[in-house]
Amino acid sequence: MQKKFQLTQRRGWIKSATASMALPMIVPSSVLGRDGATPPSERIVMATIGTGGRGTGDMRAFLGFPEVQMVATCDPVREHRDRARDMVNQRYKSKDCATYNDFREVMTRDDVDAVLIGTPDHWHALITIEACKRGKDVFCEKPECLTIRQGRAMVDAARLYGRVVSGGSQRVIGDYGDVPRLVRGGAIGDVKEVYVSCGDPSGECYLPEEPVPDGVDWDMWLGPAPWRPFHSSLLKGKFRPYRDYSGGGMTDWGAHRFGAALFATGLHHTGPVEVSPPDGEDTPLLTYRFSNGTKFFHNGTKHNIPKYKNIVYRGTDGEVPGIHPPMLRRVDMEGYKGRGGIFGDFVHCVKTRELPFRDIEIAHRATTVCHLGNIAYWLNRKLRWNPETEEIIGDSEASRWLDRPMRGSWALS
Amino acid sequence: MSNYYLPLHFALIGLFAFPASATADENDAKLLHKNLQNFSSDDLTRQKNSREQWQQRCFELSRPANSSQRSAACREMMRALSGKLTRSTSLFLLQQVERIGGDESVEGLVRLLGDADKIVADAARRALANNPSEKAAHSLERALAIANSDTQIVQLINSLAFRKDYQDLETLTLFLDHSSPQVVVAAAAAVSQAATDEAAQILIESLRLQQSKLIAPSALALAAAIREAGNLAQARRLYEAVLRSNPSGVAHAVAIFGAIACSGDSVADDLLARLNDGDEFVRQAAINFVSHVDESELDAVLRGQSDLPNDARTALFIALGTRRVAAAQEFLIEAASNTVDDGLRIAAIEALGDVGGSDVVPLLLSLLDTSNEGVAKAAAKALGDTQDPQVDKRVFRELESTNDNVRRETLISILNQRRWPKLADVAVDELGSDSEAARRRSIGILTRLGTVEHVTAALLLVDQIPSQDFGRFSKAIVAICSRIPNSNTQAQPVIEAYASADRSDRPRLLSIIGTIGGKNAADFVNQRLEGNSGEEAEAAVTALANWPDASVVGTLLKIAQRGETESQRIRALRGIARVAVLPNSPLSESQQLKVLTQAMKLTTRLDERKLILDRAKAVDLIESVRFIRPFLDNTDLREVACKSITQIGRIKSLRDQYPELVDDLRRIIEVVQDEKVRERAKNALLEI
Repeated sequence: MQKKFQLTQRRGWIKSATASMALPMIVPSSVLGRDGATPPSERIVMATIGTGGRGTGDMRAFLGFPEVQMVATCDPVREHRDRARDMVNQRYKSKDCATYNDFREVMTRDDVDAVLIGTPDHWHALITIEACKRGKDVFCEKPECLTIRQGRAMVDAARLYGRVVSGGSQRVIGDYGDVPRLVRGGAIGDVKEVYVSCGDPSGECYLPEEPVPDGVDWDMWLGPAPWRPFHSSLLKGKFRPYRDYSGGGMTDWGAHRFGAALFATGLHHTGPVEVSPPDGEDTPLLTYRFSNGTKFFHNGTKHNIPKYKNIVYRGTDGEVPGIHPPMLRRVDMEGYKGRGGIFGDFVHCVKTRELPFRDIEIAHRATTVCHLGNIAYWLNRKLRWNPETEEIIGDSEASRWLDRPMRGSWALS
Repeated sequence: MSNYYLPLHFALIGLFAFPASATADENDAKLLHKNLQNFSSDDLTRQKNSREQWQQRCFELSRPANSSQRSAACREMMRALSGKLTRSTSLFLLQQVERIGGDESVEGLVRLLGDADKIVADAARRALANNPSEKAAHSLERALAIANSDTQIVQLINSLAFRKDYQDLETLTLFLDHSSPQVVVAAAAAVSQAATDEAAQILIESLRLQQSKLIAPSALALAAAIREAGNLAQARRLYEAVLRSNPSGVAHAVAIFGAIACSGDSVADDLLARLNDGDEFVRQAAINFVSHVDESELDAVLRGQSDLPNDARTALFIALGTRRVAAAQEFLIEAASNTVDDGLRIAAIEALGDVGGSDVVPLLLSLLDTSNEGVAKAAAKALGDTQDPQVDKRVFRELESTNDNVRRETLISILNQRRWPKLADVAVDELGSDSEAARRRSIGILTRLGTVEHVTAALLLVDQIPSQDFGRFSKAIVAICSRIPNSNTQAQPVIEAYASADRSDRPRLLSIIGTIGGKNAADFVNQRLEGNSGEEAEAAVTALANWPDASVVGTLLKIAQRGETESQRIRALRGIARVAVLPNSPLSESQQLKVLTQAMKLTTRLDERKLILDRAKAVDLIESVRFIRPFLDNTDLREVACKSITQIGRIKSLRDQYPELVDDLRRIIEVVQDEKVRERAKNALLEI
């Protein structure tokens, strides 16, 4: 059978793609190996993997797009995947939506163009990379990775296979509107300091053991994470405080807000060169220093300056939010493409092959800032970071936190 | 009893001698053993405290200067692990060893590979994988040599690959022809990590094997790495080996792309040849590469473009625009003017927006009139994108010379896209338009481009703004005024407009003044309060209630106590509830609570009480909880009280310090109707 490889190239993708010469451009899987497929510009066949609260919320958003057809839900918790399936079937007035316990079964479906990943963080990299290999585009909830190395591996896979991989922070632009334009446009002069408020790092999990209920594949829920006994709250979105599954509030809201701060200051393609934990003296807050001299401060729960809420930018000529001179000049700035916020941006990019607003490289850079902060907090020492090579300098023991071996046979291969 | 790694255990046990009594730092050893029995305590607080203490010490020991103490502590942990421990304690200790263990831990970890509990054995394997010692790599390698199940083999290969220091490709090569697909995938991935010529050669050979489809992803990853390192010839050999292996669609496309990228001096020839290929798949895959053509190759591709199929030319035009290749202008003008194919024509027009100067404006303006909607939209977009500043004036002249509303709308959109500052003048003129769309567009333009002069002009038209647009209009004025550097005088343009405004417009202006805030505004609003009554005084109270910060709390409290009308007193109370806890409030949290408490005493209605209780949740103090607590007994206010206390109860440090808050949360779980609040209260109590 003649393989088809239809492609409608559009301007925006090329514009973005030239930034990365490593990016080959591949069409959605629906046009690979199938004759007579509906053109991808008209229909995007999707599956949702991870159908807890957030995954279902995202799925609901995608169901609102007429060009998206959700065909499968996948979760190791039967109640979650069935509930999501019912939602899909209700939307389409059909009984066609399939359910899966194991995401690898979804990957074998050639008709699926794209997957929405709404699982806990410890699954994000594995599923994203497998999807890329299978020629599927990915919308992955934030924080996009559990470790810095996982984030880089996700970027590599996206580039190698030419997939559209969007992170899931809807707040970088959604919550901050014109602030990045003001900051980039020079409204506050040279940005010197940015105070970013979000939660603290994750830690160990001390939840007691509970019996595994019927319909829960606990081993699959844990997947690559270290083994621990079952506890029901972990299935209800309460995994975030625990290091084996998440980076805590630091990566949860940090993925949004550090992402926004990096974007507004134009540092979203790089990273800090130094991260210093609070010492109760000269460094009251966890402090990131970038090579251009800009400093970011983590305004956390334990160490914070209460008057700074959300994100505060301080520059040579003013402050945002706060007082600053008028900023009238034109500023070209990336934004969502298509209609419908970050979800519409993804849908648009799947069709046009443009890089999405929260492209995985940008997402990885944002979560890297959060992860470095966590490592500095955990180890309570200053880290020097090379954002080009993505290596911690002069501290091989701290470098061991850049990745974690996975349980059982799971690996990012 | 299953013994997961039992064969390994017996095979490896003799490789190492158990260390003689280690000279661990006494304090660390004491600390470990003091805590050891509590690591699996049923009392979770005790378990947590003991584990946290030891873990913290482990983090501290991982400092570069603490190498010998770190090593001693790890020996102590390994000694403990050799004894009888619960699974939970073993896993906890192994996780610490995974993070900080070195040479000293390897022997003990190898023993644990043979543990009867396969969960413990797997944790030991991970600890070896993350152990920087060469001995750890050798141990894993030896274990791999004698592993007797596919699962073990996969896990051990993955562990070696994780280390990234494993170079013994010969051993791994043996597994590339394995009967288990999982083993082949793992081995290929591990080989590709080496990123050397030898690794490339091994994978090229293995792509001839039956399992080539399993190897192709790793071969492509390796080829990309080699290409990035500059070895194009070797990378191309890998890509071609993948192409020969009849790969799947995705791998096939990636390999075509890679092969072109590695063509060296003949990229343009290779690309043009594939763009003309009879196989549609090859042609489409090659199109992917067009935007990646090196500058030096572009000329050659440009010369050959006219013979290419339209889909390839379209991709090329897009790439030329993106790169702003000025030399392409003549090709683009030709295609924009004369091409029949819509896709190609649109690509050419849009590229002109990036490439062209003011000399392409006449062509683009003429295309705005075409009946082909796609072409007209592309022309508008190109006009919006063109960099030449002369374009602003040319488009504005066109705007001045036309009365056609549709065309005016298009031209205004273009100027708006270009952020042309003088467009704000046009926007003010259109504020009084009968068209809702035109009015709203004008307000949007003013928000972005307006200056103080535009505020003055716009406020003269305030009576013409329909009530449904007044909110937007007000935000636009506030946005412009917020650009005045001195925050005390930001409301001045509106204050000045107030003097000459009709009496009927003044309440609207006062509400805008309140939203802007600042010292001048406060003085002005206070004057309106003192010297006036009726509508103006009512509007002044509304202005204070809209204030952007808590500086007017004192005035609002006075009005709440002694306001002339009930309506004023109610609005003042609602205003207090709003401004007292605004972010960036100059009030301390205690002061915020004091204000809310005072306001509560002045309330007469349920609505305001609910509002104040709701806002109290923003004050993260135990005193707030004490303020709210009595309302748990009030059936009308219980739900909001539950919600606010639960919100404060999320703060762990408060819960730890004040058991009364924990009691409140327990009570809330019993009494609250709102399931979400109950769930939140439960979750707060779960967090230890």
